[in-house]
Order: sequence, then structure tokens, then C-alpha cells
Amino acid sequence: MSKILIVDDEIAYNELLKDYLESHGYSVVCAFDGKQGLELYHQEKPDLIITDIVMPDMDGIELLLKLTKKDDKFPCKVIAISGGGRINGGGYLATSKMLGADQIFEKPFKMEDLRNCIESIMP
Amino acid sequence: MDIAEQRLDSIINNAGEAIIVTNEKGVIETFNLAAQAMFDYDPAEIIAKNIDTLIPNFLHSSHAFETEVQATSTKIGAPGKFRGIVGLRKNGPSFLMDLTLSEIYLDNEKVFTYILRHIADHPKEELVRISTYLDAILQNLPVGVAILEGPEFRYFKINQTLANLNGLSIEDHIGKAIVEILPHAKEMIVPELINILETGVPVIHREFTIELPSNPGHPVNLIDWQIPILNEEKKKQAVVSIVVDVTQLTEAQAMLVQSAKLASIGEMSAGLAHEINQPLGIIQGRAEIVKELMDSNVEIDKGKVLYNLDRIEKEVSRTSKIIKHLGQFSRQVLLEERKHFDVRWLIEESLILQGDTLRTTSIEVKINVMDEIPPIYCDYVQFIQVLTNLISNAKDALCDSATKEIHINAFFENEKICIDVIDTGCGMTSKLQQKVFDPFFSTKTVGDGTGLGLSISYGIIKKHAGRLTVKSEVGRGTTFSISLPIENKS
Repeated sequence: MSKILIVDDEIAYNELLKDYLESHGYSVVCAFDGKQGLELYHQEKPDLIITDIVMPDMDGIELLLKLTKKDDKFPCKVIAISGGGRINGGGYLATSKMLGADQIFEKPFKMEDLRNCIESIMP
Repeated sequence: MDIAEQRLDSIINNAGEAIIVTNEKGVIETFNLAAQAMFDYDPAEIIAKNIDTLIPNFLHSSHAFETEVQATSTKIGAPGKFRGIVGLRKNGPSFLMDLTLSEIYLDNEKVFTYILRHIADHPKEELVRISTYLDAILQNLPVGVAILEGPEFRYFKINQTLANLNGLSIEDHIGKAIVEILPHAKEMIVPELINILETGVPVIHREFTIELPSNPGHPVNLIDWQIPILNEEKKKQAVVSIVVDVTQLTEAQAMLVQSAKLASIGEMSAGLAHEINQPLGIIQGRAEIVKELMDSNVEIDKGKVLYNLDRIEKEVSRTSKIIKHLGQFSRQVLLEERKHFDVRWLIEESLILQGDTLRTTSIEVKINVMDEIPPIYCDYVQFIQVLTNLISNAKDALCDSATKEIHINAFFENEKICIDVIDTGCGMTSKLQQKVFDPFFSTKTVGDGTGLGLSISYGIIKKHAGRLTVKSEVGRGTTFSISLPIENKS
């Protein structure tokens, strides 16, 4: 069973992703900022990280930068999501893509699309 | 006193020209009869006084200095001749005179001799000279100037700038009554002029709108100064009228305010879009979960469905709250009227409209509102615009700070409502502080700030009869203070 780490400071969104992905048979752990996400990553060794980009303390970009890379690739799969609408939202997502995120999503998006994406990128 | 000295004294005293002798420091030692007549002082009153009393500012002028320099190199100073020097008569008006200044050494002591001639001795030449100078100044002033005489306010003089504004030549004006040139002056200007002549009180900086014959149908905004001129018997005989056309300036200002308003609405709507996308994403996801639950072949888990629908409801109400704020904001943008608003509520509104930019930058906002603060009488949108701008500036100042706090303190002091927005950011030098309210001044990178925020905020607070000030210390932070009178029905 694949393990997913969700990093989003918005509790309700975090809960939604957990409920949905668990109902589809994934094991899910949740963090509410980048710092916590990094700690949980080392503790849980997930197969996939779904991280929000704009967050307090340590944002998604910083988290991605801190994940140790092997051969310029993240140690696990990464999906970046953002609230969009804000002036810099698009820029953040582009940066995440540049850093090597496997896929990016802009809220609001369909859970189904997310699931399809997960299925396609997971081995 | 020896004979020679007595003789010299007598010659000086009875000379036809006014002669004054001072020591090196300008202290008067000799004051002859002609000088007494010219300045109306007795020797007893003026001896030992400084020459400044009679010829103000002259000792400090460069002429005096030059002469002094020359004097150090020769025994007898080369005489300096100065024309049009202002003399001050005792209790009387000032007058113009010609001065011949020399320095001589008497018993190794340097003294100055002032030989003076009243310019009135050859008035015509002088009057022509002064009149030529004044005309040159008058004609080249970038503001409109006219001198109006008599009970009908006839143009005695007018400069090119004002003639152009009126759309007529200078010659067309001279001798005509003001109402012949400007039909609207009858109600707009003449009553003011009559009042000025009756009371002797000038009109300073009056803004008004008038239609000029040069451009019918397009009223112009003018600022005028009307100053009465008194004649010898202290009777008012004429009015100096100074006029500046500020139409373009007023229009430009209005456009700036409008564009900054639009910019701030744009910024807010971007923030609000982000705020709305969050609940929309949740509604989308929860709805999908419900669909999947209903679609599945196993028995429907009613509890799970209800839980998800409940979460959808919550997000819908959160969204409608945000939209309500936006609606309120846009309605008020259209209304532009002043009402009484609760201070705390206004502060909270501006924080909500900031979206989540504060939360995502880990800035702690501490609001402290005094309990018995009276409501603010203000234009909602404009006031929110000021607060949002101050908070947003504070936020930007905090980006590299260790302590990230914004304090918003509201209190009532000396009959004024005060709101301080304090940050613990990088602070500003006093040079920067002097410039922050200047239009287009910005410390931000091009594209990040318009440089208009603070100048417009300043204008808005001023329009509410209040003051917006700044205090800052480099490395410690900045405080912007708004203070408003309770009644500001300006």
C-alpha cells in the first residue's frame, strides 16, 4: 500500500485529501507546514508528497529544496498544489515544476484528476 | 582735542552730505547733521548703536565683505559705491539711497565712513529703473497677476500669463472693468474684491471654479490671492490679484486617486480569489467523495455522506462571507460617502481584505483598541484603503526581520481618534522619512509598488481633516500614525 504525505496549512483541505485518498486505499499522513512535513518525511519515508506551496514558516518551495536529491531527482514522487488567484501563485507552481515536481495542481481541482495523476506517476 | 581735529569735526558735521563714521565692528561714532535729518535720529540716540539699525543687512552683504578684504591690503580702503541701498528712518518708512563707503586708518585704528545720498534727490531716473525691474518680474511670472483699481476694479496692469488665461491681449484689458472681461466675475470675484477693500483683509489661497470667455463650456479651477494696496493715507485704492490655473493639476490628481483605487481593488481581488479557491477546492472534493459513496455497490454509509455534505455547507458559508465583504467593498466604492464606523470593525475589515498574505508570511498582528473610542466618521473605502496600505507597507518592512509583529493601536486622545500602525521592521533613515509621502517615491523594486500608496493615503486623511505622520528608527521599526478629529465634516 502506497504511503502519501500531505503538507497543507489549511486544515479543512488537508482533511479532505486524507478522507479521499484513504477511501481509495492509500495510507495517509498529514503535516501542517513545511517544517513538520520535513520531519514526517524522514520519519515515515512516504512514496509521495503532496505539498501546498504558500504556507507559513517553511513554504512548499523551501521544503522541496530541503529534500535531499539523488541524481537530481527527489527521493520520492512530488505533487505541488497552490491556491492560485494570487499574483505569484502561478510563479510558485512553475518554480516547483522547475525544481522537479512530478505534477502541479491549482486549486480548485478535481479529486479524480489528482487520483489519476497519482496512479500514473506511482510505480 | 587739537585744532586740526576740531576743524575736521566741524567740516564733517556741517557737510552737505550725510556722513556716518563707524568703527571696525560697525558701531556708530560720528553722525553728522545731514545724517540726523535723513534718518531722523538725535546723535545721542544713535551713537554707539550698530550701523545695522540704519542700513539693515548691509554689513553682512558681500559688498561690505569685499571692501573689508581690500582694506586689509592698503592703508586707505578703495571706496566702494553702492546704489539703491535701503535706509531705515526712525519710526518711518524705509527709503533708497546711494552709499559711498570708505575705510581709513585714524591713529592706526580702522574706521568706516559712510557718505549717503537720498535717491529721492533724483527720483525720475530711479522710478524708471524700479518700474522697469518690476515690469520684467511681473511679465515673466508663471502665475497670473493683475492690479485692479477703483470701485469698478479696472485693470491698471496685467501680466502675459493672466492675459493668456483670459484669452485676450494685455492691451485689451487695460482700463476695462473686470466684469467687461470676465462676465462671471460679477458673482464669483467682485463680491470678494468689495469685501477686501472694505475690511482690508486679503484673500489668501481661495480655490474656485469659473468659466472663462476664452473657453466657454469648460470651467477651469483657479486658486487666487487678492491683496489690497494701501495708499499714503492708508486708504485702500487697488487690489493685487494673483491667479494660478490648477485645472490640469486637479484632473491629474483625480486620475491618480482613481488609478490607485483600481490598483488596490485589483490587489484585493487577487487575494480574495485565493481565499475563494480554497473553499471551492474543498467543495469540489467533498462532492466527489459523496458521488463515489452513492455510486458504490456496497450499502451507502449515510453517516459518511452526511459528514461530507456538512463540510460542503461549512465551506459554502465561508465563501459567502468572503463574497459579502467584497460586495460591501464594491458597493462602498460606488457610494463614496461618509458615515460613522466602529474603529475595531474597520481595522478587522482591512485585515480580512488583506487576504491570507499576513498568515502566509508568519506575521503576528496585535490589535489593541481602547474601550471607549468613539466611532470614526469617514468614507469606508477610502479609510480601508489607507489602513490596507499601511498594513501592507508594514508587512513589506518585516520581510527580513527576526521579530515579525504588526501592532495596531487605536485610542482617543485630545479629542482626536488615533490609529498607530507599528511594525518591528527595518525602519527608515530620517532622509527617507521626509520622502515617504511624496508621489511616486518607492523603495520597492519597479513593478512591486506604484509609489503612490502613501501619498494617496496622506491625501485621504487630509481630506478627512486629519493628519498622517511617520516616526521611524533604523533597525527598530516604523510607526505610521493617523489622527482624526471626531467631527471632520470638511
